[in-house]
Amino acid sequence: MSNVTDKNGLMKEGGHLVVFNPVVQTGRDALNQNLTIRYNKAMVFKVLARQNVQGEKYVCSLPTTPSTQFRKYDQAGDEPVASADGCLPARAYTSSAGVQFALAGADNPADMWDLDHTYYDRLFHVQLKVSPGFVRVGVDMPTGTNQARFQRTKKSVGIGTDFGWRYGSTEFVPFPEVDCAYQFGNYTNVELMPKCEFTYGEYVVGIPSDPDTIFRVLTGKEQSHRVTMPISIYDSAIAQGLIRTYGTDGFRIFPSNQYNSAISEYQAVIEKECDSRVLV
Amino acid sequence: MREIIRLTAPTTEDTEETFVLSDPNYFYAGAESFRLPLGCKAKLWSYTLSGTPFTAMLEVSKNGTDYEEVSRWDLQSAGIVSETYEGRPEVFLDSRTGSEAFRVAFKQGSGVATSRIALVVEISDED
Repeated sequence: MSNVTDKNGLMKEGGHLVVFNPVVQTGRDALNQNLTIRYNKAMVFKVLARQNVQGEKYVCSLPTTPSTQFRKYDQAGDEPVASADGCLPARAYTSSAGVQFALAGADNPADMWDLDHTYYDRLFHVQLKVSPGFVRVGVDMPTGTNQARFQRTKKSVGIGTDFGWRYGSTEFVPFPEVDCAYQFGNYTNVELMPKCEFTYGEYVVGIPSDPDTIFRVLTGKEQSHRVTMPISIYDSAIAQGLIRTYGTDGFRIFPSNQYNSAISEYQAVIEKECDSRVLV
Repeated sequence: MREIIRLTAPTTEDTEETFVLSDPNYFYAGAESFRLPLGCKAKLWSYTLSGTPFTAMLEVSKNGTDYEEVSRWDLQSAGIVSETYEGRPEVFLDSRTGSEAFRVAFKQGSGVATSRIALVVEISDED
């Protein structure tokens, strides 16, 4: 447990959450405009408050039905079908569309973690634990896009292959306006009835309006919790969703010895890109 | 990842057969074998044989087809026999290819469905 997270790995009020974009981008060096450099970006949020802090668990069955589409690990055999609601067929994994967790009354009843840009002040931090733990779990951001890659983008891996996935749990931050879906895989020969246990934070957030704070957070001088986007390719739907909600798709990460360059760029992003309503 | 599953099955009216193992929490239906998730180990925490006399054989396969016996337990008289591997579960199968599987067979003197086996097995990708 760090200073900014609690025993469940959720953010404490007042802490900074960094959502790191692992896709390397290229651009002009701030110190030498003739130089092209590679860099990463990250979204920086200050968690002002946490809603429903006494009850941040949600337990449910897998949101599958006998009509859910699956893919299969074996070339031979019939198309896998769930025998009942909540089942994950043997030797099967979910279709490219994945599955989403429906919740009646939610902003998007088909996907409880999906929000539109009017929820710019809210951010979910979602941890999913699946039992049995040997169910393969992944997140597609955006939906329908397998982002698991090996050797840059040379080889697609992921839940349907021998590696590029994890067993039993995942953590991610779904942004408003970015449609995401879960992938589940059952490599065993037994049809499973998995239990899905969410530990989530509904954070009231804002983007710090002080460029020095952004710099200190991104260079590690100020403690934060970092979550990496589950992506290998920066799909335009992600950038568009971020810009529609916040006005920006993040802050460039500078080396810690380029304070002045970073501050001037962060100041420009805050003033010219960020929607004023998201700043705190 | 560590997951404990409790596999249980009754004997059938056969003198020799393979148990149809089920886990009431996580399995939709029983299966005669369990294919180990790729990269996982199967660790035996305990076994319990109960009912009338029978012999149970734990068998493992590296290719999902050819099985070999790795453990044998006897219930020699009507009652119950149980053993727990306190704190040191026995690793009996380790998956490298994803084809590894295990099953439990039984033999009994008379074909009566009066006995039961229960295994507590840990499926884990950790040591």
